[in-house]
Amino acid sequence: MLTYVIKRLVAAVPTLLGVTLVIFSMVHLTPGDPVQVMLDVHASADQVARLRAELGLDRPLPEQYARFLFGALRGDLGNSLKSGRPVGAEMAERLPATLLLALAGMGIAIPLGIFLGVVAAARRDTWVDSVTMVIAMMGVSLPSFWIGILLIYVFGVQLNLLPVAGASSWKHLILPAVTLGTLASSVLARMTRSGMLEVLNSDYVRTARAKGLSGKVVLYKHALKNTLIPVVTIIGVQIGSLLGGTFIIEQLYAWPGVGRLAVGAIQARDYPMMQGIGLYVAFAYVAVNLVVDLIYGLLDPRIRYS
Amino acid sequence: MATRKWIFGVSLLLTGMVLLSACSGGSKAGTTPADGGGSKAAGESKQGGTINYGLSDEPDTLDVQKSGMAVVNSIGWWIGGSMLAQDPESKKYVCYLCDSYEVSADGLTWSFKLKENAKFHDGNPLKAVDWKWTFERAQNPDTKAKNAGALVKEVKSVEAVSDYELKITLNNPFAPFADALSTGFLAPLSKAAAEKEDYGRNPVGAGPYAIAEWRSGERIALKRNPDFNWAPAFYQSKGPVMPDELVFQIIPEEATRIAALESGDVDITNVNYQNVDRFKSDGTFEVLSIKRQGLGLFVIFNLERPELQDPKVRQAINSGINRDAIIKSVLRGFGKPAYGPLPEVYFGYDPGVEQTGYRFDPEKAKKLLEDAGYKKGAEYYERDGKVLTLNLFTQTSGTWKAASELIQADLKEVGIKVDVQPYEWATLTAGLTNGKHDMSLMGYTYADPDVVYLFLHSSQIGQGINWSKVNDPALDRLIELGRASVDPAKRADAYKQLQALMIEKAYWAPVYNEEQFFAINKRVQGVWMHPTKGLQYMDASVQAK
Repeated sequence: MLTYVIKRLVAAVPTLLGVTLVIFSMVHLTPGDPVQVMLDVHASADQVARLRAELGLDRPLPEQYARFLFGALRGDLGNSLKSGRPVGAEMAERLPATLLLALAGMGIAIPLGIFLGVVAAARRDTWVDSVTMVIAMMGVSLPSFWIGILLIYVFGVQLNLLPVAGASSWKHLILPAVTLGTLASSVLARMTRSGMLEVLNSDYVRTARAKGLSGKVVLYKHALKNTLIPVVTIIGVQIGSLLGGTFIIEQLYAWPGVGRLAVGAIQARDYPMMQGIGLYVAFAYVAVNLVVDLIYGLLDPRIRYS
Repeated sequence: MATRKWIFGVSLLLTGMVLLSACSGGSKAGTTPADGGGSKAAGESKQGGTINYGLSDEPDTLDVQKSGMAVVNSIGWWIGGSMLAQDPESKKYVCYLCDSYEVSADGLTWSFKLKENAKFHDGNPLKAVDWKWTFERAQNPDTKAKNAGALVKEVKSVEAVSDYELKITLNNPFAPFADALSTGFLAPLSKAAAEKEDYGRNPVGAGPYAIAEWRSGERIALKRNPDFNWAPAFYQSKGPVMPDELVFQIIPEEATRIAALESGDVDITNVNYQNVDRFKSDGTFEVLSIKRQGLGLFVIFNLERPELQDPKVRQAINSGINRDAIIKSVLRGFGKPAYGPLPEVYFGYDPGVEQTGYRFDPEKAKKLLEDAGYKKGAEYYERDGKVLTLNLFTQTSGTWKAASELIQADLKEVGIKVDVQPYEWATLTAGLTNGKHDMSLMGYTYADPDVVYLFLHSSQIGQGINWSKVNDPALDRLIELGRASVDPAKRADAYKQLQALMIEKAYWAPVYNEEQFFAINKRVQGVWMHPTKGLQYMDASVQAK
C-alpha cells in the first residue's frame, strides 16, 4: 500500500510537469498584455519597457518558464502583477473559503444524492422514482446561476431570512452551499440509481433477500456498498473541480474563494497568479484522484495495491 | 464610491487620470450638480451605526500611489485626505489639509500653509516633511507609482520651508495640478507606516475614516477617525464623522448587489439604467446621480485604413448613427447625444458643437459615400468591386455590446457593412495597440480636457493610446496650446478651435454622454453627491435598523 502511494506520487511528477508547461503556454498565448493592463494610459514607452524588464517579461519564454518552474519548486510562485503581493499569500487567503464551500456543498450533496438514488432505485418505476429523477434531471440541466438567483430572491429579498452576499457568518454559507449541494447531488442521485438497479438484480441480493434480511439491510449494507465505486469516482471528480473554486457560485454570492481570484487574474492577465492557481488546481486533482483510488480498496477488498 | 470590465463600480471620480471606460456604463462617473444633490441636511444625526456599500470592484491595493483604479482613488481619499478639495458649488479648489495656499503668477510655484492640528491615524502629526516624502516617493521609479506618478510628473522640487510651510515648484505650468492635489492618489503618506510590510492592506492617512479590516474578496471596513476635525469648509460637519463604520462589501454580481440593497444587507450601491425608475419610485430609497467626467461613448477610426482616410467616409459614419435611438435603448433615456470630443461638464466645452456636430441623416450619409466614389451594390456601397466593410471592436457585454449592434444596424441602413468584434477588455486594448481595428468603441473618464493629448496627439501613436493614429499638425498645435495656456480665456479658445476641427475632420464619431445612478437606503442620511468627486460621507449619519 505504502509502495503504491509512493509509486503514485512519483508518477504524479511528470503529470505536474506537463501541467506546468501547458499552464505556462496557455497563459502566455492568451492575447492581451499585463503591462498594458497594469499601467494607466499615461505611461510612457520608457515606463512600459522598465516595468516589462522588472517583471521579467522581456526575457525569452523558455527562460521565463524555467524561472516559474524553479520558483514553484521552492514554493515561490512570484508576486501578483495586480496587487504586488505574493501569489501564495493571496491564494492562502482565499483557500479557506473555497474549502469551506466545497465541504459544505459536498456535505449536502453526498448524503442527499445517495439517498435519493437509493430511494429511486428501490421504488423503481413508481411515482417516487419518477419524481426523484425529474428533480435530478432538473438539477443537472438548470444553470446554477439561475437557481442561485431564485434562492437569493426568495430567501434574501422576499423572506429576508438569509444574507445574499459575503462570508461574514455561518448564515452566509447556507445559500451558496445549498445551491452547490443540490446541483452536485443530482449527478450523484442519477449515478447511484443506475448502479443500484444493476446490483439489485444480482444473485447475491436475491440470496440476501431469500435469507430473510430486511429490505433496509439489503439496500444499504449489501447493495449500496457494491454501487459505491462509480459513485466515489464521481464524487472525486466533483471535489476536484470544487477545490478549484466554483466561479459562478462564488461570483453570484460574492463568496471570497479561489474561483473569483482566478477570474480576476485572467482579466488582468496576471501571469503569476494565473500560473499559481493553475498549478494548485492540478495538484488538487492529482491528490483527490489518489485518495479516490485508495478508497476503492476500502470499498472493495478484492482491489489490491501493488 | 467607485471599469471592467475591469473596471468599475464606484462613484468616483477620477480626477487626474484617464480611465478608459472599460465597463459598460462606466462606473466611474461624472456628476450632476443640478440633479445630484442629496440630503445635505443631516437632520438629527446620532453617532454610531454602519454604512454598508455594495462595491463591484475590489481595489488592487490601498497604497494609493501604486494603483490606477478609480475605486482606490475614492476609498483612498476617505482614508488619506488631500491637500486641496474642490468646492462643489464654485468648483474652485479650496484648502483641505492646508489653511491657505497661493500660486505664483507664472503658475510654477505653489506655496501651502499646512493645518497644524491635522495628524495621521497613527497619531503622528502631518508636517511639511511628510508631504515632501509623499511627493518624492511618487516620483521615485522604485515606487512604480501609477497614476500618482503621472500626477507629479511636472513637479520639479518640493521644499519643507518649515514644519507647516510647503513649497512645490513645477517645471512647466500644469493646469490640472490643483485637481491632482485633490485626489486620493496624492493623499499624504506617513513614512513610518508606508515603509511597513503589506502597507497596501494597512494604509494610514489623515482622513475622516481609517482602515479597520480588509478581508480579501469580501469586505473593506473603514472606521471613524475620532480625532478628525479638519474637513474642508464646504461640508456641514468639520468632523469626526457620525457613523462608526463605512464598510465596502465586494459584490461583483450586479443582480446580487441589487438584491442585497433590497434586502437591506447593503445601504448604497450603483444601479443600472433598468432599475433607476424602480428605485426612484420606492420610498425606501433615494436615488442620486453623477454625470460622467468624460465622454461616455464614441467611435474611433483607424486612419491607417485607406477607406477611413477619406474624411467623407468618416463623416458618413457620423451621419449614419442614430444617437437618440441608442440612448433610448441602451441607456433607457438616461443620457444625452454627444457631438464633440469633450463632455459638457468640462472646462472649455463649446456648446456650439450641438449645432455644428453631425446629426442622424442617413440620406446625407449616402450622398457623402457617393461623393467619396462609392456606388450602391445590392445591399452595400462598393468601390472597385469591393464592398465597404469595416470591423468595429467592442466589449463582450453591457452597454458597449448593445450600442455596437445598434450602430451596425444603423450603418447597414446607410449601406456600410460592419463586422462587430466583441473582446474582453485586455484583448480589446491589445488589438487596438496592434492596430487590428478599423473602428472601435471607446469611452473615457478624466478630470481635464487635456485628455485629448492622450487620444489624439501624434506623439501618442504607437506606445500611447492614439489608437486612431491621428497625425494632424493643426490638431497637435491646438492640443499643445490647450495644455500650456495658463490664461483661462486662451485655453478655452484653444479647445473651442479644437472641437471645431474634430467635427470638421470627423476624427471620431461621438455617441453619448451618460449619468451614473446610486440608490441609497434612507436609513442613511446626509450622503450627498459631489458633482465631480462622487458620493460624500462626511455629513452622513445612520438610523438604527
